[in-house]
Amino acid sequence: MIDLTTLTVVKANEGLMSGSFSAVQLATAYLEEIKKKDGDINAYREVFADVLEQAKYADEMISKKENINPLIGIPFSIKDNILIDGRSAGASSKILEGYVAPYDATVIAKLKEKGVVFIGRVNMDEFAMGGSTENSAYGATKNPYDITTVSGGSSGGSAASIAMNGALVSLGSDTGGSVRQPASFCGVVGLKPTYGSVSRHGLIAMGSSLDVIGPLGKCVEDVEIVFDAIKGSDKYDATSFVPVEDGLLQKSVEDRLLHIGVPKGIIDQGGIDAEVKKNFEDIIEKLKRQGHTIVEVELPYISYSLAAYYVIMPAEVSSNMARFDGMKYGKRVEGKTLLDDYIHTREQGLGKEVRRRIMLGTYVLSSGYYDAYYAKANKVRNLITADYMKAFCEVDAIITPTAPSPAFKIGAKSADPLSMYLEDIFTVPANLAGIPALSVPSGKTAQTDTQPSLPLGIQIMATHHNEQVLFTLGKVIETIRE
Amino acid sequence: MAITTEEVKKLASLSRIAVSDEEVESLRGDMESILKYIEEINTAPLENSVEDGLLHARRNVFRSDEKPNVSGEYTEKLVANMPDSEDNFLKVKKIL
Repeated sequence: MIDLTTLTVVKANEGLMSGSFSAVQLATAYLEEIKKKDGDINAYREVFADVLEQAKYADEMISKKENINPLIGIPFSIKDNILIDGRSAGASSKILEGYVAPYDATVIAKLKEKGVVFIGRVNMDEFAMGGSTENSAYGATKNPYDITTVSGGSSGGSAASIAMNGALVSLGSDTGGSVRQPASFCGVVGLKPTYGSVSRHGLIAMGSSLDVIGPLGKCVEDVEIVFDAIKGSDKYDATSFVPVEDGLLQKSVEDRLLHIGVPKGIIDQGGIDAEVKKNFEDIIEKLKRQGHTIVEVELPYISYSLAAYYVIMPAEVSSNMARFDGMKYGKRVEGKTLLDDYIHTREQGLGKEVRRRIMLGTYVLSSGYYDAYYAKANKVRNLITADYMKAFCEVDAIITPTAPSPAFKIGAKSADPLSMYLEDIFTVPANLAGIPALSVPSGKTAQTDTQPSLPLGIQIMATHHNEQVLFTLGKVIETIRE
Repeated sequence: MAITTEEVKKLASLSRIAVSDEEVESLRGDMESILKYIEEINTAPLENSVEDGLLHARRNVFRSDEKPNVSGEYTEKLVANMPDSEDNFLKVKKIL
């Protein structure tokens, strides 16, 4: 028996290399867990039929000592908005029913080269729009810690698949917190890399100036290994960049105590759950006891982040979603005229939140409102970025809670879109500024008679290209949390 | 920011989305509360606004106009995804 609960990428690799188990046995162990648990959790949209064949192929390479690398034979789940050649991809939307990806996303091509095993594609909020997976056209993914609560979103299937031992690692996407918030809710680690560090080619677009693909895993090291495998420039994504050489823009933080910033007033701002606040304060105390310096940083424009995000993101959504018209792929609802085809395909194929955001984006971009909303939001975005750049002259990293609350009950926020948007309050600024951010489990809520203990997460942010700072501090937090 | 049902219908039409009469009202309410929230950016002091491009280190990316995909490389897969096709052409309703 393989103990999946404590398994990490490094341990799995040791097991595979030493022959204590094969990739087929490893994949089988995950498939069995999925069979047992996914009826309740609903993390998977599809478990691939050829998982054991993929694992067998990895075993053959291992036995021939070919392509030996840390990810060979490692079981992955993949968010339903990342294309794998020849397999269905749906972004958890009815409008993409029947769509089969004609090519590999760059991240998938890179993982295939490593010989990983794709277990299946996982559930998400439709087109990554949401913070709970309740916007999936195929039902919400439940939180493995308490199935009456949400898994978070939009990469809820990714986070839950790891937490329930249905995959060892996963790829999600993060536009405003969609990797970090579900990671926090499900007690796993989630990375939103620097914008442009990972190619978006083959990711179904949501907000193109904000989107980035990011890994989720059980520990910081797992996420680091996957990030190293998927990053890099790509001719198919003009915003992707060549990783900067060490020492050029990167801060060296190994073997020294860190200067860590906490945004002024963040702990006392309203709407933060008492246990989240206490946990965050505990972590700060423990970091201080380790000798790290905690300072308050001023980010004057950060309070406008969410408002700016909910202008820029819908604007980009309304443009990106124009391609889903029932003509070229997916579902088509037939009407009397071509226009009827369009409007009814989009009415019936797209869920309410997606339609709402398209219309909101159409509004903020329409003549007469463009300057009042979109142009202003972009100015605010630059000011927020400038705030961060200034703060990172003083500190190595900035920390906040990942989300204002632990996982909430299913249905608690689905009737009020604005309350769901407020979930993104701590995560959105990193997307606006393009900086990397990591959510690391930081503890759990107290168990009560009616409520099982739920995971909490802390978010670490660093300046562009400095994922290494996140990994270093993330590993510190892994050793000091309770 | 007040938004009328007529405006919602106009936006739906610009967005190429059919909306039922029942849904117009709920969309109107949702959009009104969201727009009220995003109004907040109008209170942000913008006199210190920085030039776009400096911060994100945005740069132009050029690509030479050569080595496109091999003709027909993806045709079969793309046509297979089309809801309706004929002889490797996408089939849609008559436009004119």
